[in-house]
Amino acid sequence: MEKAGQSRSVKKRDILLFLSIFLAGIAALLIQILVASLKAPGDILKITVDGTVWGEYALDENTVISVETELGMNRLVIADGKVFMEEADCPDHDCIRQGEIGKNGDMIICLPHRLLAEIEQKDGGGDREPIPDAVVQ
Amino acid sequence: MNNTRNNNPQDNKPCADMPAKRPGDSGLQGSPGRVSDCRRQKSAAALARKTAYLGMLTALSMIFSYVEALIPFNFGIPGIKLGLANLMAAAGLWILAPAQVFAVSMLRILLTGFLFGSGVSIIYSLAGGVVSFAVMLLLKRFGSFSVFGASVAGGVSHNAAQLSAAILIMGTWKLVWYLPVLTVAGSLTGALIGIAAARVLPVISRKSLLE
Repeated sequence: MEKAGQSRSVKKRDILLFLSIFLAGIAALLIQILVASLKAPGDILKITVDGTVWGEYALDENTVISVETELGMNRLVIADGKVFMEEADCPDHDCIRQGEIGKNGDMIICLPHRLLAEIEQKDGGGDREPIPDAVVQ
Repeated sequence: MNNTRNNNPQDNKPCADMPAKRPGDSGLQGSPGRVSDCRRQKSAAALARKTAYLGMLTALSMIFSYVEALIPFNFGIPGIKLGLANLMAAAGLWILAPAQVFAVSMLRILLTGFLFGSGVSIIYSLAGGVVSFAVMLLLKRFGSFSVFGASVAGGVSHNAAQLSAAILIMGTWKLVWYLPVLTVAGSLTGALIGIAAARVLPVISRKSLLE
């Protein structure tokens, strides 16, 4: 109560705090965009539900995958080497808005259903550096 | 809620054996055993007013949560939203005791969580609410930041806490990838809420509402 007056005066340190956090975030984002642009297309879709692997699917085969667990239903579509979430019975549909993925390391997450759909490469696993030359389409 | 206020017609009459008002007395502390009946009534009335006021703030922040759920303000990444209810958490620190702000925040999260959310959503909200409360309180106490700075740090720490909860629940570190975008989003929404709080505070901290 006694300090209500202080709250009105935005101080120099407030602005500095905002700018340092904001600019650090922007810098990290720019690096991520650069890294993402260097990523090679992946060839496997790995679906994980609640920490355990649900299934792996080759990206060169167009198909529709229904993931039904006690947590809920998600339907993913593989089309022309890309993956997107077509339907989900969660309330917010954030996973559908995440759009298409296809590059090694890309992911779609559905938090309420604890579902993680990620793109990997057959040999070497998703965590290694992508080798663009090794991909032939 | 209005009834609580009107149940105490003696509110405004000064006690004969007591000074009308002691500076800095919120009516919540004080030992009822040693005071006169009149004084006890007055402190009960003050407690009732305080209860009504905190209940009103809880209801208001629930409305903020609800209104926000109605607005399609969504970027596809869970956790990126304005966080209107944090206006209460941020501004509250400047007009209420920390424990009261914390109680209002937790009540709001549990009530809206059970009313409109799913079971898991409460865990994310609680993680964000508890951590951002602690960070804002620390910045106010030891960093002497204004409500703007506290709100910025609150927004960022809120998102970081929710991301940590998601990493634990989903069981994968890969979600750290979302930290930069959540940091940018948290600092921006925190700044907006901070600007709003700085404007709202002079109005809601008027004594007529609290005393």
